Amino acid sequence: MNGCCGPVDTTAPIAVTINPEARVNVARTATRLGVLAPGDWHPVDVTIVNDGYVTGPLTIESAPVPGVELDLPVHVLTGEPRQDGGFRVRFDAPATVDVTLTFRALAALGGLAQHSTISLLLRSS
Amino acid sequence: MSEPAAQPLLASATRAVHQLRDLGDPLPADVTARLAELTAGPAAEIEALLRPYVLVEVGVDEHAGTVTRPGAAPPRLVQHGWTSFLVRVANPHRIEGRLNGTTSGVYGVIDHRSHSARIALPDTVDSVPRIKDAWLQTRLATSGELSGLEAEYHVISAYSRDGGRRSAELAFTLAVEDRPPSLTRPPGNRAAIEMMMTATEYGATIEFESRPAREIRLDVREPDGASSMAAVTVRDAHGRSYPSTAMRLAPDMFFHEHVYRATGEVVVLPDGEYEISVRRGPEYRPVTRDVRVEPGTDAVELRLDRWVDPAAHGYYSGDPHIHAGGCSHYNVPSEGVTPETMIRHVRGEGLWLGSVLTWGPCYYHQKQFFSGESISPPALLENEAMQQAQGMTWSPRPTDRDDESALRYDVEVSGFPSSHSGHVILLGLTDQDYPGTQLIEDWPSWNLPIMRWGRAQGALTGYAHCGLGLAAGTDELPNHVVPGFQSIGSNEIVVDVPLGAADFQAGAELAPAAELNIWYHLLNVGYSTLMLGETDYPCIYDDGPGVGRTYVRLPSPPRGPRALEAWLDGLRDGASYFGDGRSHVFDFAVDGDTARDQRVAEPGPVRVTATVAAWLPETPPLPPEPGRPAYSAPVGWHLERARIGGGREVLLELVVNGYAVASQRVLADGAEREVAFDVTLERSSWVALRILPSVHTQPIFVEAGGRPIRASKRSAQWLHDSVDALWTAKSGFIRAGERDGARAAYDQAQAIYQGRRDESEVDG
Repeated sequence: MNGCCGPVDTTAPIAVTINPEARVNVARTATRLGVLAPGDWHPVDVTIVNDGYVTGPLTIESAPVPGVELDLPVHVLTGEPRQDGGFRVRFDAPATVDVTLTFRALAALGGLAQHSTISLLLRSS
Repeated sequence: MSEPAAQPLLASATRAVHQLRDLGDPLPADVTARLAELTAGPAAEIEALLRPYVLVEVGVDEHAGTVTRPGAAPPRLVQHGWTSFLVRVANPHRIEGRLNGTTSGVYGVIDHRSHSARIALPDTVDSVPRIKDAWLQTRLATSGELSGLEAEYHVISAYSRDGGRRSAELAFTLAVEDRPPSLTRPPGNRAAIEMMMTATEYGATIEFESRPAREIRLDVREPDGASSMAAVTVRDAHGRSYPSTAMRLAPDMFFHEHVYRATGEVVVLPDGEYEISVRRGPEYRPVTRDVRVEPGTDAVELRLDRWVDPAAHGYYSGDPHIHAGGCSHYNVPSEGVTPETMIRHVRGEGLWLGSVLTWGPCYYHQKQFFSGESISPPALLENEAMQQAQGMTWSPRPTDRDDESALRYDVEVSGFPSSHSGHVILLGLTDQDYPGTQLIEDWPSWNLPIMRWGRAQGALTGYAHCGLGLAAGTDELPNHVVPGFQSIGSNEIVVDVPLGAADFQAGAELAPAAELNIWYHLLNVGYSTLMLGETDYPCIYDDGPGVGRTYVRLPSPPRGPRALEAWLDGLRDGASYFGDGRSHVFDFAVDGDTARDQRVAEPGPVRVTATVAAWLPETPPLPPEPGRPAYSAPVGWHLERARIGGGREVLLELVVNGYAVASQRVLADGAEREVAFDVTLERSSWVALRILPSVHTQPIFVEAGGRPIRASKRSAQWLHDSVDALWTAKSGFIRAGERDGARAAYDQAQAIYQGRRDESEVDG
């Protein structure tokens, strides 16, 4: 399997990989999020690499965190080896928060231990 | 420096504290409880709470340089063990990057961005020259990713080869990815070089105190006194695991808390109080004893407690789906571990057979172990020099039970071009390379040709983790909701079975409705498809081989090079059952006959009998900590989930043509009990016993009046419609040059189902 275990080549700040056993992994990349202006919705890109031919919904879950709104759409996996995705964040007022995001392919096993969860520091000023 | 916001600081602290817990070095319960109460700060209280447990504080300057200073945690280590501590990072300039720990004179066991020839990681690492002279090793157990928060917590694990007082310097570098890349230096070195050019003392010198440890011999004994291999879990009074999971070398796995040890083999422990548990798979009750290790202690007797012995009834266990490499659990997924490690794990779970399946990521490395025969090698250390460099001097020991376990290397077609159609398991191959192929990518892009190639070799062919993608949003069993075939379950089985190319599906891993529904429908239209219990270790379950298992009745124990073939022959023709090994059904019979295929002159009453045994603790286990699964997996097979109320009974059900038609409660006290059901068969039928989600027998097929089983028009229609759903979901992944052939096979399968639907006597 070419590239089964290496980092994903992407400019998105988050990369999701689904391995041949349909397990979901998520990781930060080298791309930084920067400081987000309050009041606006900011897209956060996610690159999805699907080595498991998994189709169906890919959800992004997070517990509510005071001070930030998260727009976490359900993605539909096509089974193609690479898809673009993303979500949006918005601050009402300047704040710094830590959000924990869990990615689940609902038709598959879900995550691989804690590997399908990522924590993200979001800063608005 | 501005103070960090309380919410992200608390989140960072909580993650680090959980990491310490998972590494077997938990903080005191009152500290973690208080931390859990601090829902949003204040930041100062969080910092004060954790300060006593911080080994080093790392300050990051505006150039990404670091200065490390000793923290308040007593720098106490354990000889020959790993100990984990908190690291606090002060990052006033909010720099994002990856923190790397260094120990003076040791350039790191993990150095995957260096110019080393390959990824060097713990379970197959070959770093002996680099560490054998170093008494201390450290590694960050957290990712080391700095989020940019002004303060955050990480975890460092430290290994001491020696006992007593020793001094060492700890330092850190910060790799900042968005600096101009260097072709000759990995990230982080640049910051380190800049640090070296200053006069600042950037490392922290720490006087460690390492508690001396000694080898404790484990005298593992079967109830009859025989020597054996078992899973041994050692915890001290603080809940720390030994050897530490912070870093383990094969055959000890970092994703286990237990280790597998044979009679006479050792663990290394400092003086103290310990709780030592021993178990050898689900046929044994866990045994726990408190042990004090003190001067003069050199051995601990661990007496295994077997509650059931299926082999004494002629039933021999096997796990048809385990891996020696490939999953993310292995740190070198393209390689993995050796047969000598895998046999240790299989023996330690009391399995007679383990099918080690080579698959995508590890295919080219692991295929070297395929021989077309079953093997039972000695459980040697796969990298003895590395073990010795780590201070592990124990020598593997043979046991009286070694020849009761064997491995067979075969193939799971996962990570191949046809994997979208389900992961094919081929058991009993004589040739592991598909004809005309050099690379995985050359293999067919759908499964039927592979199944036929496997069967031509005499292999048993089937599908792994059958329930994946087949959940239909209901627990009803059977149900008639056509699934979306969105994952890698028994997808193409609906085509391969009617075309005579698939023998089985394997599961006992997920919700019964997702796994068994497709099987029941195939049985209802007259196919004798087998169902096996498997683990997919360590991809679906990490616990060990045999979490899901299959028991096959044989005239004699499966031993020698043809052990798997004997087991497969029994599976094809004889009695078998599958499940979690916590309940068993022996001598399942219809009117006293245990034969799989039976014929009667006409429908009518029959008596179904069996010997059933199940074991549960007298009371249910305590609820797990929040966020941790109760048992092996959220939806996995486990007899505990069959417990009725808070008592000790479970429900045994008689299944006829997919429906539970009678049931009785069984006390799960480990005793073997004769059970009987009187039932009238209205037509040719399949009959089985089950305790869900724990055990299910293969059916007995009763053909009445010479009429084949055609028990449900709705089952035939469901299968027909499932072929359509499968084509919709998967045909786009089949190569253009193979698609016409696939479509023809799909059409053929549907025509057969239509015929069987018309032959069925009832809607079902």
